[in-house]
Amino acid sequence: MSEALARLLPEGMHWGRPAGLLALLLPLAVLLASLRPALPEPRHTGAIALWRNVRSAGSGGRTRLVVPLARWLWIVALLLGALALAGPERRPPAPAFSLAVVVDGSASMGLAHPDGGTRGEAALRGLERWLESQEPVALEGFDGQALGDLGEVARGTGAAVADWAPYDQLGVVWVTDDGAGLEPVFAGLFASGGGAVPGPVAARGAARWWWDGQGLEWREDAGQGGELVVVGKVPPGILDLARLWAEERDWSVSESSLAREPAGAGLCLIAHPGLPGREREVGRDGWTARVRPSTGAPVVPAGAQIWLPGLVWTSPGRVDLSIASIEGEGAEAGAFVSSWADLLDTGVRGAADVVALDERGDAGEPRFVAPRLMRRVARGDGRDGAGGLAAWLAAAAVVLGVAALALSGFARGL
Amino acid sequence: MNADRPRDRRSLRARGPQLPCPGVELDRAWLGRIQGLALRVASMLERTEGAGRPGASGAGQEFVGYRPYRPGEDLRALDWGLLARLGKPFVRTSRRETAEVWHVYLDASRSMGCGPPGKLQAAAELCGGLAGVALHLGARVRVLASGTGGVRRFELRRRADLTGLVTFLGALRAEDDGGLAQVLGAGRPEHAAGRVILIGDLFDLEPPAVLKLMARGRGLTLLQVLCPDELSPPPESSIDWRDPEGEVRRRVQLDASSLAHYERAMEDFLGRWRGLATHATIEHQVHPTTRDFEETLARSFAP
Repeated sequence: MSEALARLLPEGMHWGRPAGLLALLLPLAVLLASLRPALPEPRHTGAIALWRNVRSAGSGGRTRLVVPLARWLWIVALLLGALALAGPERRPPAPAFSLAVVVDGSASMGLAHPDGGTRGEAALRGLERWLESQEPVALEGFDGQALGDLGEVARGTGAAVADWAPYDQLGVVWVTDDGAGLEPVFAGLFASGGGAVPGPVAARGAARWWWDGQGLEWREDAGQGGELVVVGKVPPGILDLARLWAEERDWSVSESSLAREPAGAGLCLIAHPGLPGREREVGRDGWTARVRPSTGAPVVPAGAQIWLPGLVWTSPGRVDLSIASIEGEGAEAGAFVSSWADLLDTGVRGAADVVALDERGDAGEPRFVAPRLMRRVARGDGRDGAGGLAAWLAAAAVVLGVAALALSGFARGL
Repeated sequence: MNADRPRDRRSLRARGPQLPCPGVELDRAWLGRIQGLALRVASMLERTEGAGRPGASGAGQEFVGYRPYRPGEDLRALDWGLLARLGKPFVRTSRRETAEVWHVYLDASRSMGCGPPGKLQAAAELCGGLAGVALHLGARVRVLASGTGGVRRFELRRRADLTGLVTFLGALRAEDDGGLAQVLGAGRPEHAAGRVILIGDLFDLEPPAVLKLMARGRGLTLLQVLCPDELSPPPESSIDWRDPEGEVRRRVQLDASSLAHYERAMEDFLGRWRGLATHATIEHQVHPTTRDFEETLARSFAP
């Protein structure tokens, strides 16, 4: 019931004492009692014979129930009193302290940790345990954006932190696996540590370079092979180049009508359909060509890396083309092939099981440097105002109760 | 003088729920009010005499006042001057004439326990007021009240007997079913009864029974005592009317329609008694229990 009644409150408010809502039964009971037909009052009269043939409109029909004004005032007063008792107030105030969490997004954070889970999860568990002993803390990203909980932080994938120095500030905590060499002055540190994790460190098709903790060995069919997925009508010159690029890597090539995640390491080369636009000349990396763009191609998504403005862009695992035709690249063929091969290399999503050798190394012992929390600027959480609302409700209930009392007394006086 | 019969509360309880106003409470202050009423009535009568013909009482007869003319009386006793001035027939009364007996019949049935204010209380006050006036005028008073064990009697010859009347009336309880019919059935008033007054709600009485009380030279007065619930029922939402003298119940939803029906029925009921009074030259007054007994009795004795 309290949840249903909570919806009656403006957004951001809740009942401080939900049990007080039980008091709503009181005005409800009074209302029902008022609407119940009253039992006839017994009275004696010597003129009983005169009533014998008296017909009353109420004896055969519905009785019109009239609730006196004073009773209504009582009901409203009880209603307001019950609401005041339930203590409407704003959501619990925002934590007084904040902590910006900077998480190392390097691949080593995904390696297994001896305590279970990954190194990243182990580091966040340490931070979580520390937070439990603190006052409520608002977790934020370094950009000030609020973070819900550490689970959300753990899901976030970021790039490896190349330089921690800019993050060495009060109210900031670093979360990483290898804390060796990190000496924060102002920031806190949670490093999971963890031993070396042998595994593939490079891939070629389904073969892997395998690091066993001491040396590397070549293993055939040790993983999933690479795949190039071609979607749509890719201009012939680019398609031929892409096939050669895949063949050189022992990748399979497949065509599909829909963009899909390639198996294992892979790339999806997508040609967006559209009518050929006006021909124009484009070029980069020492080559030029006449290109007809595909009109009606989708807008380049945010975060994508633009390679040829409005024509080619890439994001992890895919390269998007908005080109209907391309010609004249023959003059600088070497530059053209090299340039496009670099583009395809940029878009490749690495094999999931491959982690660079330097990432797989020993991360050392866990390290912990307690962060110093920053007091947040008061934003007026409105608790006082909410307390004021309960007081106003209580005052209104008292005023209405007194009015009802006076009205009842006045009516009796009449 | 009649002995006060002890109340049988067990029998009262056995007969049903307690009535709201079953008894009578009188005190010495009430005796003072009776005395005041008697003086007021006497003064009123003397003023009327002073404005009329003082010599009409005749030699050897002490003039004491006027009373309404009764059919069959000697027209020579009529005060023609008063008739011309007031348009109503009055006869002069002398000390000899007032040395008569007034019979006061009192209804003490259960229906008189209705109220508040209680009907039996109002009837007792009227009875005492009448007795006070009668004694002041030199008449004897015989009070007959209905009762479970039979008609109860009390006689007053002098003012000192008023104290006994207080005791007699104070012992009355609205507990019998007989009412005025029981009193009338106990026998006709003696021949010397110059005035017979019936005090009750008259719900249990039929007009022919009253007519039997008529006699030459005798005045008959009906004081009909009714409580507010009977005269103008309250505008409550619903009332379960109960008959004090039976098991009859009538549950009524009070609204404009039902109240109008009842008012018509009550008007018809009162109209029958008014018609009888007009036809037989009987004085009839409705006495609401909210009214002081002095007001009703002053009207009764006003010329």
